[in-house]
Amino acid sequence: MRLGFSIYWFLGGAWILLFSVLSCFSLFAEQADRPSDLQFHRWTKQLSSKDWILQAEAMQGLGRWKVESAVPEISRILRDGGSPWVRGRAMVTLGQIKGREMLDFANQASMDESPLLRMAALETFELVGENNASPVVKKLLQDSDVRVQAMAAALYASQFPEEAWPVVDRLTISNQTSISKNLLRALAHISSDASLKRLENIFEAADVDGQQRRDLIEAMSVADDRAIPFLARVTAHYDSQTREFRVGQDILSSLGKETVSKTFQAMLVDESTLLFENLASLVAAVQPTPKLGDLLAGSWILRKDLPQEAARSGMVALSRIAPARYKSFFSHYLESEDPETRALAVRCRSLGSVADLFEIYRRHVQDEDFRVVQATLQSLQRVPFQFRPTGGLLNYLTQPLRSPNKEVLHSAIKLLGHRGVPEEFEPSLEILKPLLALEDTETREVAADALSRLGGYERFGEVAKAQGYIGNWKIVGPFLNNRSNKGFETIYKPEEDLNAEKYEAEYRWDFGGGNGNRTLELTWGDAVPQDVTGAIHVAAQMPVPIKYAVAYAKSVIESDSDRTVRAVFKLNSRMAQKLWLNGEVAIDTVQSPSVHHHSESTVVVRKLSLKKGKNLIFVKTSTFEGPWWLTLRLLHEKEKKMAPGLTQVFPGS
Amino acid sequence: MKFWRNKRVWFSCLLAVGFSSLEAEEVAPVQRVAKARLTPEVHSAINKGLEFLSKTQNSDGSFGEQRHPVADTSVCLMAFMLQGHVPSRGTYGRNMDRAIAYLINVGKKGHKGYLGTPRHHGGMYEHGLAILALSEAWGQSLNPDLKNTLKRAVDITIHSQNGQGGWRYNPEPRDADLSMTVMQTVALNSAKESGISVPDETLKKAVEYVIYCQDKNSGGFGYNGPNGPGFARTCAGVMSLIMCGQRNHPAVKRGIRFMHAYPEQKFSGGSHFLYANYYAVQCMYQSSAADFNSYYPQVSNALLAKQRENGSWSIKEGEAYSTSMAILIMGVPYRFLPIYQR
Repeated sequence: MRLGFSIYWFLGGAWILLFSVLSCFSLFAEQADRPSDLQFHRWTKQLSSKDWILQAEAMQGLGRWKVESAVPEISRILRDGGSPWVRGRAMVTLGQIKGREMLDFANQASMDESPLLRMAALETFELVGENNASPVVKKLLQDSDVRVQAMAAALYASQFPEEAWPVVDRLTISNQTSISKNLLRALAHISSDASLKRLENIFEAADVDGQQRRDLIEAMSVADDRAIPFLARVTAHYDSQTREFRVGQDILSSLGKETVSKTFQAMLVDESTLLFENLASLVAAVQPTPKLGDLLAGSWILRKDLPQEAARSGMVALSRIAPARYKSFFSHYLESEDPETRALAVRCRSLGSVADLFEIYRRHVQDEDFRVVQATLQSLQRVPFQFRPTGGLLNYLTQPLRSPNKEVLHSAIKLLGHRGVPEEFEPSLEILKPLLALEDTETREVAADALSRLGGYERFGEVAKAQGYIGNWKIVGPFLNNRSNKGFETIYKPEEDLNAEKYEAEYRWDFGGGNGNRTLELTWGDAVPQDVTGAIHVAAQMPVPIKYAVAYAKSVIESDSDRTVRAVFKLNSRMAQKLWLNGEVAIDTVQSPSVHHHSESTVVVRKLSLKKGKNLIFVKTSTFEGPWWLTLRLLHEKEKKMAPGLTQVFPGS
Repeated sequence: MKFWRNKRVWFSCLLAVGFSSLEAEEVAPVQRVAKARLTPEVHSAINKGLEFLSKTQNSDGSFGEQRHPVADTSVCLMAFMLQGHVPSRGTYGRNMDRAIAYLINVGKKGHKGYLGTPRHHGGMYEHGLAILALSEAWGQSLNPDLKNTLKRAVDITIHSQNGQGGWRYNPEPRDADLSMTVMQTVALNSAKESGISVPDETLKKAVEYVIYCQDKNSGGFGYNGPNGPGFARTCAGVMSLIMCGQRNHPAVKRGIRFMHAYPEQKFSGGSHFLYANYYAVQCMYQSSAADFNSYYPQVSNALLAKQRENGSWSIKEGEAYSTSMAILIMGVPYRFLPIYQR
């Protein structure tokens, strides 16, 4: 019997802790949606479990939603439950559902030999007892168990705060580093100068741990407006990302607005700047009003002792309140010596009026710290298109476009692409050419994308050629092919005479509406890339719609010496490609007809030996019902950049 | 002043001086296609067709056999406007007033101003056609309820666009197909040109959906994606892109190529002969004089051959619809409908 009691005691203690945590979470959680009928059914079934944990979990849900149909089963647990603790939970749950009907039972339980049941009785009184239970509560203040005493003290303080102070004072005056949650609540309930001073001592005690401080802040949820200054101070000790800050913020939001405002006003002009960093966040979270914003901006801007962290926090707070209103505050910190503060000032200033931002940020776009430059470039994206920097965007971005910092460089290129004008295409191309010549980097793609925006699709070919893609093609087609790619094996006229002016070809219409078979007279046509990745949409070059087809392409590359290059091209699913260099087959690749239509394209790399002078590249390409694109890029044999010494010319020129 | 306003002003001024009584060939429209013009035979055929329509209008102002009265009435109303007739005036002014009143009444009865038949798969087609017709009529009609009807109807269309940028059978943002998307896109463009507020984002998303439906190899358009390109869908897709200001988009050029290459059956019949050529002839007109001149004579000759003795056409979809659509196809050179102008 004695052993059993001890186990119950231990388990009960652990579960009190767990349920206290759960209760705290629920206290500050947003109002949850009502669970489904199925969930209620599960909870009701769960009551029959032999597992206390499951029973307690079910009772917590059923009690919260006052499910009366569960009363018989919960009553059974109260009567026959496997431990005093779970019987206590049943009592509290029934209190939630049945209200004052449980008072008599709680009265009896307050005299039970188990402290767990006595505590549960107090909890039930707190739920439903009003002041009627005070005789019982007073009696339990003298209980032999300190936990029962603490809970009784909390309940007593909630009902009679002034009368409770001597008892609570006695219970909390010593050992302030390990005060129970119930005693902290008792102190908060009282909210007198003396009790708040006691709480302050507890919070500031050197050896108090983080959990105790957290419990203290949570206990403040039962305090009244007199506790606001204390609560604001302790909350401002914490970073805005911490749980303590959020709990304090929630409680302050629920207290008297006027008192909170006055408290913040006093704190904002405090002599000490110690709490300023988190105070600004607290103001923005609890009362983001222009009145407090004006006070913060007006007083802090004059403080020489303001820490940079506080200045940054102030800027974030003001940008949440009304960014346009505080642009002079942000502008002040544009001159800060601290780069992190300057960067944030740049970001915050751009949230207000942005018409003159290009000129305001002219120095910041050349700042020595990359974070400031990055913030500037990103912020400038906000400026409406009609506003442009004096001297043109390209001049404006000269320095960041040379930045060794990749993020800055990319941001500058992106800004140029998004905000530049077509007239800036050619000088931009010249500046970005070294980046376009790189083999395959993110920077090259960013540069190509920006140039495509500047120049539009008419200039895609130039951007592609600057990356080493062959952009001067002549193409002829379509010649017959079928789903099995048989046409690729057929030698058509261009393979026998690639300089003929015209070719006759059979054409099959594959898109319904009757028999469209006919003979076509085909001629070579010029083709340039349709996007900046150098891709020629071969199907679009055909004079008629095609489904399966073969086409030929030719181009001339002039080399200033004999050299080997790497030829890189993409082979899409369901297409084939064969390449002749100066009349010799150099590459022959066929995608298997079994390859899925939408599979990824394959990148093929082969070495080509170019001779000095003109080199003829002749390509046979086919599609058998898939995307049909032609891309060919010539890269340096060994280095990761485009091949040097090459000039692209149209065949025949 | 925006270009559309110029067109509208031009159109309104012509009508304000009693232009409806003039022969189309007697004036010099602002934009004239170089060669293909309205022949006397086509002009006469259209006159007979309009006369037929005027005599067969239903007592409630609608047209047709009551299977799709909103659609039939909308295309009939546009057929009258095509030749320069205006509400409340001239030979067909009364017919047009009654048709407009009928459509407005449908809007008043419809949920939140919906102009289509509820829970009918053709409902959104009717809704779009009615917006198109009423948008074209706005400025000429004196009916005070027209603007409000249009605004409510356009609002429904805007809020029925799905995440892909398209529309389908019901006024809700769920699925999409090209045919319905084109109908709504054309309607919204017409409404926008007439001065109703339509977000640019709505039309931008619609363009994205239409381009998504193009088979990149052939240039033809599929029904709800690029697969299975067909003639009618291609005509519709290209027309909607042109109306959205994408005349020079490569997708338009590829689509026109597909339309030209399509076999001669496009001039003789097929399951969507009128629907396809209604869009095709406008595409060709908008594309270039050469495209129009190679296409229009063939389709107008084909339609002349199909006209019946009483002035009507009956090509699968009923007399009112067929007659109106035939008139709308043959009458493109009139260029009196704002959407027919370049």
